[in-house]
Amino acid sequence: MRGQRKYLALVVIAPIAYMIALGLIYSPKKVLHVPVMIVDQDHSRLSRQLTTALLASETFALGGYSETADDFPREVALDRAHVCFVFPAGLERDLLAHRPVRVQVLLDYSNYLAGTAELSAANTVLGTFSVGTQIRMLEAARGVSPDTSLLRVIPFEMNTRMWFNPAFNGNYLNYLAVGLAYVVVQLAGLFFTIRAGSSELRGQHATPLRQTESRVWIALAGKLLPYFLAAVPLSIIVTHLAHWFFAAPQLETQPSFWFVLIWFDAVMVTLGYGLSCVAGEPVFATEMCASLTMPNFLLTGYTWPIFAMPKIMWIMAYGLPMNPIVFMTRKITTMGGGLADCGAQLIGLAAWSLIALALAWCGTRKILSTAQEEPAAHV
Amino acid sequence: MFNTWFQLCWREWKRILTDRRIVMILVGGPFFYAFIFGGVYWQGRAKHVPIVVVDQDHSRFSREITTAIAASENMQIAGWVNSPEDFLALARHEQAYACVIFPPEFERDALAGKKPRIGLILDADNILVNGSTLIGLRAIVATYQVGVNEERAEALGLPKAGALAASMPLAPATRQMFNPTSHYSFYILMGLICIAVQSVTRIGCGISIELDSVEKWKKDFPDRAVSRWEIFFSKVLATALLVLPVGGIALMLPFVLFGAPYRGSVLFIALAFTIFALSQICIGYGYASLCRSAVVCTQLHLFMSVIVFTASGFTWPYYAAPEWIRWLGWLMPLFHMNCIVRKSALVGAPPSLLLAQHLLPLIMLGVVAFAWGWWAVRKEMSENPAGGGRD
Repeated sequence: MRGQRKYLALVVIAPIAYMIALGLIYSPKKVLHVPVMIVDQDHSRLSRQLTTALLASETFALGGYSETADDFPREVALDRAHVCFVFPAGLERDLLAHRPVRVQVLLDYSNYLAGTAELSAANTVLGTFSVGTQIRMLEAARGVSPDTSLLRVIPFEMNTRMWFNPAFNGNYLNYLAVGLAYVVVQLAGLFFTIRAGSSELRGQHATPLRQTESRVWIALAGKLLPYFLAAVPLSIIVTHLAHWFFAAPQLETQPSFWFVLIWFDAVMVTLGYGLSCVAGEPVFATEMCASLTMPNFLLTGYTWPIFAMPKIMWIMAYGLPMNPIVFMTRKITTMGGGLADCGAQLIGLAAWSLIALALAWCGTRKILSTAQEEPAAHV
Repeated sequence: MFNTWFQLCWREWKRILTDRRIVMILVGGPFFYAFIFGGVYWQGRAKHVPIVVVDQDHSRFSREITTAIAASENMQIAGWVNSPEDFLALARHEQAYACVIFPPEFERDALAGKKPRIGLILDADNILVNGSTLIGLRAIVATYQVGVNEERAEALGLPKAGALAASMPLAPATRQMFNPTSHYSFYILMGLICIAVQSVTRIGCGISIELDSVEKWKKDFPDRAVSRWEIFFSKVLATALLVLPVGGIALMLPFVLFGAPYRGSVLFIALAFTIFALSQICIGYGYASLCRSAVVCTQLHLFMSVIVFTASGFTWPYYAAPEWIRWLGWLMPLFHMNCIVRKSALVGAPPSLLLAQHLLPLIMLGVVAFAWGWWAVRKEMSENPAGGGRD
């Protein structure tokens, strides 16, 4: 590891900087203050009350008023509004005359995440207002008590309980931070050793591995141990940063979490070394890592569920090394499960362990065998 | 003069095309990622989310609602279980993502005018799955609530139209504009391809410049002195001739192959993409010069790719981000490129609206990138005359 200060500094500092930046980007935790355009064609007490109720929601902020909804696409393009509420003329009059009335809600769905948050907030505000209006109408028309009218308005209720993320309110930090941390844990693990094999093959060390009279397994263990010891604390810091600084929830006391985290680090360090030996040069080895890691997160099923992918993509989703670790971590740290719930993922990680060990073993053998060839060459 | 230019560009092109690593990255990269991401989001929506039902009522009403859930496109019934406790194990094994509970005497309480409750437990771990399930179930329950209210109002002697008005006095008529089917790939695919083009261009340029040197130029052109300007221009031009068609085709794939709607001006996007690609080539040289090693440079780009994409405001909306993130995003060519593609293709914004807002900043950033790239190439050629990397 000596003589690689700049390179090691990147591998250590980049993951920590990455997690801090990620935490800061998602620090609002949910989509807030989306600019709203109000088209009030009624100019009534009701439309003003509705406007006040909508703007009292933390999701919305006033972007402006307009005479017609035709301006909405233009306002979206200029980022002045991403939701538009249209209160048609005669809104209050129709409501008082017991005629059905509709408030038009135009949502900018070109951003799916923002659109879904906007839809949910609009439904909540207008739904609450609708129920309130209905209760008042019943009370006024039939002279029933508020409790009875509430029962009549909501004949049955849906009680929702969110498991594994109890403070759930579209909180993106809680949802994404755990998974995205493993993007850099994986990269750091691989990059720690990505030059270790090729530098041995090129003889760039003061005491090359090939000059030591070791067995393959002993040489391999001795070679990887320092990198592994550096990778483990880094991965612990990276996986906990969102929890320490940005209050992301984590049930972290389970030994099974430490077991899978350390196992994953060991696999990545070994795999990086193996690829380094196979490639023979660090740039090519880094490219091999890139092809393995770049599409990895989106393919793991962590954000977009695997059951919603075409079947042919399932092979890639389950076959990449990040799939087992993100799902095991989610099950252990968020769902409170244990290794018994991680059968498929354990098999996946075990398979990658074998691949990494096979590559590393072959690479070390190749390095050690050059020791026998070199003296012969000198003779 | 043109002959000289042609020779310089041809030399650079030959160098790029004969290096399998650079070709693999610059040519294979954009297509590889376009097809991978296109395949992942092919279905477009998280449909048929498996859910389980705990029916402790076994009534006509509970069966009706269960049938309505089964008929919904968002969900599919994965099975019936005896109690909500059984859901925990199924959730941990990814066999179910929600559990609907009908308590005992649900129908009887509803008929008696008491307020029964339907229980819903959601695996809130995944916002995309969870959101789709919650919206679907809320819609079904709201429809039943309105139906029951309507029947009651009719029973009280109100006419049908009046009964509907009394049961739902204020209904939102929602319209999802620019992506009416909430297709996930329409929203995300073009942004992912832009970040892929950015990453592969920067990485490819980083490797390419490290393998080049003044000595190699002298060897290739022994009869004439090649200035650093000529070296820089021929490098940028030759790389652009490769990146532009490859990246352009990759950027067209969401519209041509994956069915995303296109409402904008093709010429305007082509112009923006050209400026974007040229900026990325220059930035690639800039980073390579700062890192002074192709390995470190490649690794830096890999570490940065997720953060850059997130900070560009394509997924997490920039207008909901903290103020300083918005400023940071504004300083990235990727932010402006993504905005132009999305607003032009999905929103159908005319070029006149996007010119001052995104194209001019993109051009300004392009000028800065150009200056940085020129500085970097000049520095590399002076400090690394022999080439071949410093690893």
